[in-house]
Amino acid sequence: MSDGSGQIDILISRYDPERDDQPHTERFTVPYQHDSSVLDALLYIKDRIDGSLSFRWSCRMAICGSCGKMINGVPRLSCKTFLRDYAPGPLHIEALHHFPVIKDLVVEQAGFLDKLPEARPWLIREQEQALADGPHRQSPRQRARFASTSACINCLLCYAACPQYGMKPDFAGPALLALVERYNADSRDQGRAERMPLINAEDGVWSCTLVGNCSAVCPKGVDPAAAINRNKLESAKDYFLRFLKIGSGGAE
Amino acid sequence: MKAHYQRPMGRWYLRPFYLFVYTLRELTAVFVLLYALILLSGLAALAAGPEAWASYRQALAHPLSIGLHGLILVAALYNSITWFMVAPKAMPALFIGTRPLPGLLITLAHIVVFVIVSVALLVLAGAG
Repeated sequence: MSDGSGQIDILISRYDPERDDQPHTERFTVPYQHDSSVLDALLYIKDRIDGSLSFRWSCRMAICGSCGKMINGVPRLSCKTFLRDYAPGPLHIEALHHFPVIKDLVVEQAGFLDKLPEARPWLIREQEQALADGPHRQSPRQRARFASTSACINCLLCYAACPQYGMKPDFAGPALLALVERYNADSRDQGRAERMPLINAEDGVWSCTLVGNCSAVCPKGVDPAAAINRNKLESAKDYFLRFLKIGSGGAE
Repeated sequence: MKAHYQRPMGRWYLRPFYLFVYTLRELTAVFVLLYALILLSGLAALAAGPEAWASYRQALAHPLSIGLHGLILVAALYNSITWFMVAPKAMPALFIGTRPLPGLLITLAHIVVFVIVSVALLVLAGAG
């Protein structure tokens, strides 16, 4: 690790769907300062060396979840990863693993986005409360039950970290199942039964083998592995309760 | 335009190291199963009569059997401890007020109980 400034070698996995059959690596040398992030390096390359380099980014402050990349083989937000920690390099940047690569560092996110509505990520009420009745009140303890899962920014690092998702793209995956838990654990929500089919499905919680890597790479402190595996208990309970015909959820 | 590039999975179960740790955790379960089968066959031998029981014990005392048991012990310890490490993720969430109970505390509690039970069993076996 270096505290000062200098130059760092960066190897970037490039892929042009119109020319390449598979990605190849290109080397760039960029200057860095103490506060330069990997995203800064990518922007430097795009602005001054090669304008054709493609990657996603937006907020630069670990909120938008756009700039996830594989950095030396580990899924990380490039805005939250600093060059000083990798100097003098080389630093290897690739597109997020397990997703189809569209171009260079840009991946196809449909494998996650298309499934998103299945989580029913909104508050579901059996009966809507009239506005005149005021807000749904919640105690700090009730809020704490979903505080960590609500921090998810959909950056998909957890999917790039999950070998099960790599092998089974139909797996609902860490962020989606953490989102299910975020709403199920919310005292204002009454939609657990509507979300049980997703939890119970073959591609729901039961496709997780508790590798735990999703939680290790999460930049926001969400613990998807815990959210998923706690729901295995819920799923098993739901199965037996439905078996006894007193259950709620269902998996058709 | 060509299709998107899908990276092959390769030998993901060997590298990086933390995935190898996971792979070993899953593989060592086979040794735990093996030990359960050895215990079960002991039970069957006991039910079959004194002669079967004596030959079962004789087989256990064979150097190969002792070596195998050593291997099983190491594998079972690895399996147990790595599972204790992920136990906080596999149990209902516990809170103290608004703060989640630290996972490390849950793992340590598992290990402490594991040590106490193991020592108690060894003492009981010695006394027997």
